[in-house]
Amino acid sequence: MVEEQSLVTALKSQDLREKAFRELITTYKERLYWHIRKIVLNHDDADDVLQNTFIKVFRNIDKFQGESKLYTWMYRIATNESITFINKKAKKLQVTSEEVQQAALSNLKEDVYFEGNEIQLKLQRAITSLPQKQQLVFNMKYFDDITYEELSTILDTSVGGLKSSYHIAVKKITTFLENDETF
Amino acid sequence: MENDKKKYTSGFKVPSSYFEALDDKLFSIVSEDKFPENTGFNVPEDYFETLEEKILSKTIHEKESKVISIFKRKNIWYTTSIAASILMLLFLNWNKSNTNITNWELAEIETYIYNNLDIEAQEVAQLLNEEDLESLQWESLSITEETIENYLLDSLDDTSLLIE
Repeated sequence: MVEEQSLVTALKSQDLREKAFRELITTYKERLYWHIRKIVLNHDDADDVLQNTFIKVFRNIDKFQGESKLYTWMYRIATNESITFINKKAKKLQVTSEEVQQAALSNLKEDVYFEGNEIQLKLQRAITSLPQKQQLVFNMKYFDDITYEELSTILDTSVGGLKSSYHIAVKKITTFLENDETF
Repeated sequence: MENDKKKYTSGFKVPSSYFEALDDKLFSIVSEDKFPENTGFNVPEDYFETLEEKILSKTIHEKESKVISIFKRKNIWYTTSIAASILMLLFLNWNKSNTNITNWELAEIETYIYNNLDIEAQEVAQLLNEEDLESLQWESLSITEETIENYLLDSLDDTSLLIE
């Protein structure tokens, strides 16, 4: 926590901010990338959103008051950026955001940056079939092992609500995997 | 039997809804075992190694261009001219390229920009440096004061800006 505080102080300082920002990117780039990638599914899109996330962090660091952990604040920005990205794409293509995700999903099999086997592809199909909030909760809890308390800050939802969302998501995914015979 | 239970209560307590939530918790744990541990997603070689420089070039190392805040200018007419000129230039350019939108009204162009171009007013302002602004030939655009006034009345929420 002390380390995080000093990093935030350095980020807000004119003299130290380059070194601090480099450190910030190095520390969080992979975690944020994989979080974003699981939402947008495609590498190029994830790269765009990740860069936008860091640009937003850089431009708004002065507004960060330390009410939450820096890490959860960045996760929140990354989540919002990913959702905004999908919504903008949907608006541009005049389709729904679900259709954008379905299109990204159907390209996965041919994606050179997807090396998943059939069960991994099937899991992605199952996750994409969930409502957006449940997708986020499942991905962050199952793959990233984020605590419910941290999730609560990131998604602005009560811990009880998140637990319920996660269990519903797991049930739906289990049913999906058991019933889906398309592979 | 009931009386015995009450007589020998241990004093231990569980969080509220503990037993109700336990089923879900256990189900999730058992189900998760059947899910793959990884996503299968991959990234291009050296992607993470080159990421810092890419982001720094768009933030800290970004070439500093003089940003002109349109709302800090004392002369509101000057600002208005910029906005109206950008629209007019776009309109003229479209005319030149013989596209099928030559008859568009300014309002339609504005709607088109709003719906189709992923830019914000501030980003447009950042594209123009002082030299660009000086090179704009205001006279040749022949925008009347009335047009400007109408544009401002339609576009600005705060009409107090019009009072000089």
